[in-house]
Amino acid sequence: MLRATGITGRTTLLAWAITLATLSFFVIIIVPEQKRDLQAGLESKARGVAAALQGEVAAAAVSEDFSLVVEHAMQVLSGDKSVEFLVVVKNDGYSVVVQRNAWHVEPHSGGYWRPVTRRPAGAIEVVPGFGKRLLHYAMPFDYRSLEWGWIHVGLSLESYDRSVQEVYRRTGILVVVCILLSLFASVLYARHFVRPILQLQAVVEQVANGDLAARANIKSQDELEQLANAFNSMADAILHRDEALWEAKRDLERRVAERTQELREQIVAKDHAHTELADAQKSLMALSRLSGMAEVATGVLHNVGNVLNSINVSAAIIADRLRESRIGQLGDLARQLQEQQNHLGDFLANDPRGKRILPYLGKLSARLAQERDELCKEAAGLAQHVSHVKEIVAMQQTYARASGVIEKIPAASLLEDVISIVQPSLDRNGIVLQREFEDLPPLMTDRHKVLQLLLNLVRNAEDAVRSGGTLPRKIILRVQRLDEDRLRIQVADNGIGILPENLVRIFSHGFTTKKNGHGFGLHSGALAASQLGGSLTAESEGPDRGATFTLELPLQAQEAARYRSTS
Amino acid sequence: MVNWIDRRMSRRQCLALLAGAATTAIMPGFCLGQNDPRVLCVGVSTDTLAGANINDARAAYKVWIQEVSRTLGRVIAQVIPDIFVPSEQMIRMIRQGTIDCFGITAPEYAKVADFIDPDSMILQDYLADGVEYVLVVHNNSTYKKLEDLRGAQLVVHHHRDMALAPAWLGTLLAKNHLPPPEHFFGDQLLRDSLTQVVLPVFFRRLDAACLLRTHWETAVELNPQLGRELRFLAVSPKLVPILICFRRKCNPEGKRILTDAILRISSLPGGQQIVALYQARGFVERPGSVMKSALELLRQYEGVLANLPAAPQKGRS
Repeated sequence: MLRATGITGRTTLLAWAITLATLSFFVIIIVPEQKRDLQAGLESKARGVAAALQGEVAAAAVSEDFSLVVEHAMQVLSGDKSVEFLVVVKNDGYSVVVQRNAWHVEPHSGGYWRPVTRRPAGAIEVVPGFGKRLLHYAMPFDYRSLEWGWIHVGLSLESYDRSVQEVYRRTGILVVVCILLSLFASVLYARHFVRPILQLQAVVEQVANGDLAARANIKSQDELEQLANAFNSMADAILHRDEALWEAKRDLERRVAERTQELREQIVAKDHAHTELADAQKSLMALSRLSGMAEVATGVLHNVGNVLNSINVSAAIIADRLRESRIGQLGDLARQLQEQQNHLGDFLANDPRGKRILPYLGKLSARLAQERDELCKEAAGLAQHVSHVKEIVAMQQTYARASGVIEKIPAASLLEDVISIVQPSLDRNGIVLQREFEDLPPLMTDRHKVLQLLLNLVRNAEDAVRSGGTLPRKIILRVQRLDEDRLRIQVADNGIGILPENLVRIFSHGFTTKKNGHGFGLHSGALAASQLGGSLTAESEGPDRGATFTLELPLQAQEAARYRSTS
Repeated sequence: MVNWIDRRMSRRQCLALLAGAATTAIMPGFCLGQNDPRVLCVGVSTDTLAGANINDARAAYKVWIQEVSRTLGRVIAQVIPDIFVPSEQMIRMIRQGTIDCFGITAPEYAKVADFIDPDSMILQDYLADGVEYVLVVHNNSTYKKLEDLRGAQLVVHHHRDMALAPAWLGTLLAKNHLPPPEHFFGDQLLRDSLTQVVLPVFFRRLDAACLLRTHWETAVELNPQLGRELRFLAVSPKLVPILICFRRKCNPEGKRILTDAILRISSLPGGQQIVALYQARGFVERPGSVMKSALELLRQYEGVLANLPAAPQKGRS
């Protein structure tokens, strides 16, 4: 639309619209004013007619010589075709009505012909009794100080209507002429006003199309000339910059060509290297496969080793309990009783040794019961460790073919399982285990993988507090809600701590600070955490300042599902 | 009949005609010295112009004669020093035979009837059948009979066509055995304006009015209340009050040409002015018998005048 109209058209329309608005305002004001003037002229004429008639016939009318009134009125009517009627009304209502071709007398009652206010007044209206639209002018008929009656003059509106029509016609013609003239002037003005802009636009388009030598030559001595000069300056600057750009472009193209050549050569070299790399990758994949197998074996052995350590401890405990058992004393007692079997009663009742046998048997019985309980407990732990070994082996067997079992497990229960495994060892080593568990919903995860991971962390903590740090030896197991979807399990100790430079290396495969370590536990733990959709991180303030390992795991099923898909 | 209207004149003829007309207009008494007997000497009695503006009438006649002469290409009429001649002079000129064509009133006609061509009378069209005079009084007045008007104020319309009104009123009163008007009525007012004749009676300012029936009808047309509130107390017979006639032994060709010109008077602007002056549409030609009733009335009036008593009685009885 804007494009179709154009700035010339819009400027023309604006100028024209302003002119038309002014013209309309002028017409709206002037035409009614002219009509009022015309009516005032008619009233003036009617006033003159009434005054002339009054001057001529006042004395005759007051003396009721109405024939003179009629004669003069008819003379007035015959002399002026615009006078439609003359009515002379006496205050008692007696009226002489004179028209162009008739006259009569009649009584007039009512205020129309005898207004209450004795003041001249005129109006354009349909006069009663005459049935046509006239200018009705009423003037008081006074004779000296006598308020005798009224003179009414009816003037034809023919000339008035003709004049009004002429006013309309002339105004209409004037309006049409003004509209056309204003349109013509608006077009001229708009063209004159817009010409420099269009020239400037043409030059701008030339420059935009690449002709940077084009310049605007506008001498309007106004802002447009300043704009054109500014544009010319800008075009000069663009021209210089363009030349510089062209030079830079040529240089760049040269350099690009050189670089392209180098890249071609590099691509050839890269292709060659890629071929070699593919070969190397094949070799590496073979080595990786072997390495993976070794890693699996290492993991299995590490975990099994850990469990076997516990089994060994349990077995040693059982062996110690059996070695230290008082059951041998029970044989000595049985032998003494067999020696005294003939006078067993006297022996038990009178012999000082016999008197101690029964209390001794009570104490021995209690001791044996305690030993039995301890052995049973250790045997159960041993069975649990063996079961754990089986799980480790089974888990490692599934590495290659199936994912772990995802199940809903309360985090606290999982940690209690870990504690139940390590508690004997902690107790033996005088390590205090502190629980800081929040009340959390169960999480969906691989129970044995998390158990193995946490077990590694707790055993590492146990080793750390045994190797140094501060007393009393303490391990803190902490479970917290991280956010809506994740929880955090922390294993913190006050052991030997971790050097800062080792914090980033401890999860590397083969890295260890232990004398008998394999450098596999934390590595596999980090991998397992990642497979479970979580993460494993370590913090330490330095040597002998303890360490904190943080395991973050997802709570929700989709996270577990993601884990399942990745595993 | 000569179709003089359609004639075309050359510029030379026109100039000659104007020069001739101007010469005759400024040469008094030249009328009788004309070499061409067809050029008739014309005049109008001032009594035929009662109530009219004599200057307007003089100009109208002058223009018309010039127009006719210019149209016909020859002079057909000459006027004496002034076309309007006082009544006594007109009667003398007619008797002396120094005027050929003249407009006169019926009373003047009666005095010179023997010198007038009886075959051809030219009348204004509305006078062709004669006019009537009426005597009007108000319905609510006490004037039921003519004799009731004794001492009353009478207003008479001053109009050329009222030339026989004195004779009619005098005869009417005499027939009713009443004194002549100047003695019978208290006042006799002569008014030029028709409204000043009728309306004073309507408004009861005067007692009776004498006017033409045609004028009365015009007034009633203007205000029908007049017809309802006024009534006739007497009506005259139909009379011809003024006429145009020719001297006996007038040149026949000149008479014929001038008659045609008068009958076609409305065809020329000056003639239209004359017609308007007489408030007529034109002129018609009638035989001399049209004056019979007027002559009879005048004869009766002469008798009345002859029988008037020596000591007139004036005022109300």
